[in-house]
Amino acid sequence: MTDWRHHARANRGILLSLAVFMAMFTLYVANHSAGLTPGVLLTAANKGVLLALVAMAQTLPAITAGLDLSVGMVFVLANCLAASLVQGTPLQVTLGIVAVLAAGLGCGLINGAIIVYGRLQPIITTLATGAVYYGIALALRPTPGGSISEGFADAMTGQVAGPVPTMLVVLLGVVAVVWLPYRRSVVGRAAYAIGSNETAAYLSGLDIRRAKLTAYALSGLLASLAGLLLTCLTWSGEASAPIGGTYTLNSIAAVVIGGVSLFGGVGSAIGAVFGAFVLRTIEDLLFVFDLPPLWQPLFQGAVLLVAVSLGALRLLKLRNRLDVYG
Amino acid sequence: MSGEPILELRGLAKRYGAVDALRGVDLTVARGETLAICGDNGAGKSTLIRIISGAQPPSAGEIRLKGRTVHFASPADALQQGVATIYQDLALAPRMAIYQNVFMGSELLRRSPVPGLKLLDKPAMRQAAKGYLGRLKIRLEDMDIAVNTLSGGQRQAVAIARALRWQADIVIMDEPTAALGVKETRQVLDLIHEIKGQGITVLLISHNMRDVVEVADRAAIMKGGTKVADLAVPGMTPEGLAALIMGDG
Repeated sequence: MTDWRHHARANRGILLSLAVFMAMFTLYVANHSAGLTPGVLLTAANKGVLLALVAMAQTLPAITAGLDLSVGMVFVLANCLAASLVQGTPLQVTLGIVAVLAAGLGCGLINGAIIVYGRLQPIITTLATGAVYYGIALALRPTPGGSISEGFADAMTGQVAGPVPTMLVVLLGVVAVVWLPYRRSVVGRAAYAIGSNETAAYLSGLDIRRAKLTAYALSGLLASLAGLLLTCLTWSGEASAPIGGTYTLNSIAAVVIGGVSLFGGVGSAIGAVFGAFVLRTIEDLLFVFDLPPLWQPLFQGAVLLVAVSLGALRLLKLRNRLDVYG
Repeated sequence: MSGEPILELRGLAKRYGAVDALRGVDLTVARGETLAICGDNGAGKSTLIRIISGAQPPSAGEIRLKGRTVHFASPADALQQGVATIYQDLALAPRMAIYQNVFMGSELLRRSPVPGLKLLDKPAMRQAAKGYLGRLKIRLEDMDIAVNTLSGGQRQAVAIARALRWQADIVIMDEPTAALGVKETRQVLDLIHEIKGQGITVLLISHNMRDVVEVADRAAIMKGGTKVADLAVPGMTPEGLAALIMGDG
């Protein structure tokens, strides 16, 4: 079999979500009064990258057959932290950014440590820790407010090299620096093995603890990066439970649309990125077709159902249906 | 028995609370030999195998591998010391590719442009996995297909290829034909002949006396946690072996 067919099959989830996104985005741009201007692209990127990062954060635990319900709350906590810490001199801004990201990494490590050493279910663990992280965010910022370095915020939400949105560059950077090396490393392979068959991974001598800790820690880091960028867009911090909850649930929807199996062992963060873009574009389509925004959940639900149904099509091709549980 | 001993068990015992699962088993396996471990349910076969494979420590007794006393901390530890256990389907990751399964836990790495960062060497692993399967006379062209699309016999071949990858001296096969049809059973028996031919020692746990008579050189018969018989298989009939297991011993 030729190489490109390997790649096509291994990346079916990515290609499918990319195709759906391109179709939707083309429809959006074609019906937008301004067409494809740098401004339209910038707005779309700034909205899409936040969910894309949170979806990447969700992908890593999902590959190990876990689920991280705290990603949205880490996102909100990072937003509140950034609105207090990322300001002042360039050095202070840099330290603030490091502190925000370190906090996210720490949240993820705590999740991972409880799951690995406490041997608790990921879904329950992160439901609990998510509530704790939200509590901390609320204590930090009981009412919306704060501010962020204008220079930094402008740089992040602006454009580079002419019309290229900075946020897209940041997202590409994260894919190149975090995801691609992770996927090609032993610890990443171990994460896939755990999701496919944890017993087999253990019997083969893979370091399961390290793999799970890494997955949850990176998940927290990516969620906090998204929270930092949210602050650049809103210029303030808000401990909002609805935002946290929405981002958590949308991240799960995005990974499924992007071809990541919630049973574990299958999928790519790049698919999840396009899954997030698909979800985001629904909102834009409602806008250009002048439909009430209240329809958004309905369309998101419909897209999600179609994505899950497409995933279920593989049932028809299996030799042995019990393999679904394997 | 002929040849130097590769594995010696002395007074191996396992106690689960008040239950004596193994009561002092002595067993010597020669290099390159295929030994069948037979016995009815509850005879202690599985406990014995779990100890040799490193899944459980013995309560008492000694394991000597190639003349040295060994303690296996885990199945992975046993694997590193050359004892590979092939569990019925348990040890494969069904949604992962053939080459990923063959190299699970012993991935080949290559340098990356970033100093200190090593990445998976997929082309080398594909190539080598094909080589190991070729040694088993298994023709599978595409190393990227998921294991759950393979037949039962092919899955056993992937598991054995992994043992070859670890350069295992001893391969333990726990009921390798239990869930297989006639044709696939044939394929697995051929695989056992193939690795025997390469000088690998095989410990076979099986309920199927016809399989035992076909591939084994010797049979250890277990009953009530002890070894009640240890005999050469050539010349035995499946019925004769079955009678020994069922008899009062």
